[in-house]
Amino acid sequence: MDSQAEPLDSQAELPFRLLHQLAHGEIAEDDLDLLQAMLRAEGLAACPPEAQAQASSLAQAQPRQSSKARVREIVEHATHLAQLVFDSWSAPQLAPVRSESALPRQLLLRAQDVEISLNVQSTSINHMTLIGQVLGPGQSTGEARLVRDVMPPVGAPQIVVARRDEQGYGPVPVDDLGEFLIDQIRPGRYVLSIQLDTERIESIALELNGKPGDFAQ
Amino acid sequence: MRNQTTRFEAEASDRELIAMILNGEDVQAAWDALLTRYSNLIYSVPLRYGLQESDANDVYQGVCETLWKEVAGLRDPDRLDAWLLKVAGRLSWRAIMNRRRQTQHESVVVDTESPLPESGPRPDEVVMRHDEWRAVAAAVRALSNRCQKLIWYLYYDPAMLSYEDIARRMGLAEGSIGSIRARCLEQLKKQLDDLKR
Repeated sequence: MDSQAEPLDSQAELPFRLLHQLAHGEIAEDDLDLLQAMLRAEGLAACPPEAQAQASSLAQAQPRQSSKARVREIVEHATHLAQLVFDSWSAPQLAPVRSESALPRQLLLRAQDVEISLNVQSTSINHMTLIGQVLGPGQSTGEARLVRDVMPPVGAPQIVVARRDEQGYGPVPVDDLGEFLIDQIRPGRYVLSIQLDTERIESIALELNGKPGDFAQ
Repeated sequence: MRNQTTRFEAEASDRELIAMILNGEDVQAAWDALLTRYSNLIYSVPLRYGLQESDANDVYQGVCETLWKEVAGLRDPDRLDAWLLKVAGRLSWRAIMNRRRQTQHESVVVDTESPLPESGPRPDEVVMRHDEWRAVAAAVRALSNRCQKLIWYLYYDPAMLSYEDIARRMGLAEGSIGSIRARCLEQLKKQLDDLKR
């Protein structure tokens, strides 16, 4: 015998090899079962209640985000950028010739297979009403809001992600026909954000003014 | 909450409790049920390595924190006990190394240039509580001579011989070690079960 000791003499009662392998992460799965059986056979030590209480508090001190919540968050953050595909003020044949500001401005945005039709109507010198409809194959209920946009620095990518802490309007409900209405809007540069059940759509930056000529992207 | 924990502890499997935690359903009760089920096992590992109770508490908290953080990534929730043992073993060894470094640092006042040993002490150099393994050792002694010898080589001998060397020393064919080992382990587990009763 290599160690020159009789098996399991008084100096050799320690399952050294098992403990060594466990300490170094080299233990086989079935040897883990053996070690557990050995520990239980020796009798487990009682973990002090205060130690267990401290471990118990982990559930409150470091709350986990549930899998469902994580999935929901990922889905909600799967944001699609809606591009402007039509603006009545930029279409010469449809440009108003008289009483420009009296005519509602028509906008059409598209993000993948969802289209958003917008009708912007001036209600006073400094206020507008936005009436919109979400058109697409899926469920369209949700909520819509206008978020004041921050102009990107010169040379920055033109995709603008609105900052949530900026002043804006809404949220307002998007009903089961996909329609929504935001009123008392003051002129400015906005991102339209629509949260549907399964996706979020954000428009490019839109310049909403009471008169034509300076919409922006 | 306590009633809920007790019910979960009695009825729910580890996999079910982990699923509850991950799904955000009765998280505290499910977590407490797991702790109640495994705290003694986790806490016993550092003690069996010879660590003092304060170090054992640190290891225990470390294992629980690791479980809490990594519970979503467990490959096999049905083998939670084995996973906990592995983590407890690693953290116990780390605690032993830290304790060893502290002791060296305190004893070496002037010689700060000498590097600390990378490999550290062997477990048999630091584990002092041999007496706490006596029941298991007695169970091994109750086996047949051949099983006793084989179990010794496989799980106790600090020389950590290869199967080939063990076979040579025991006068066995190397290929037969596996099957003999399985039979001996079966006997040993029966002895260990008898100890628990």
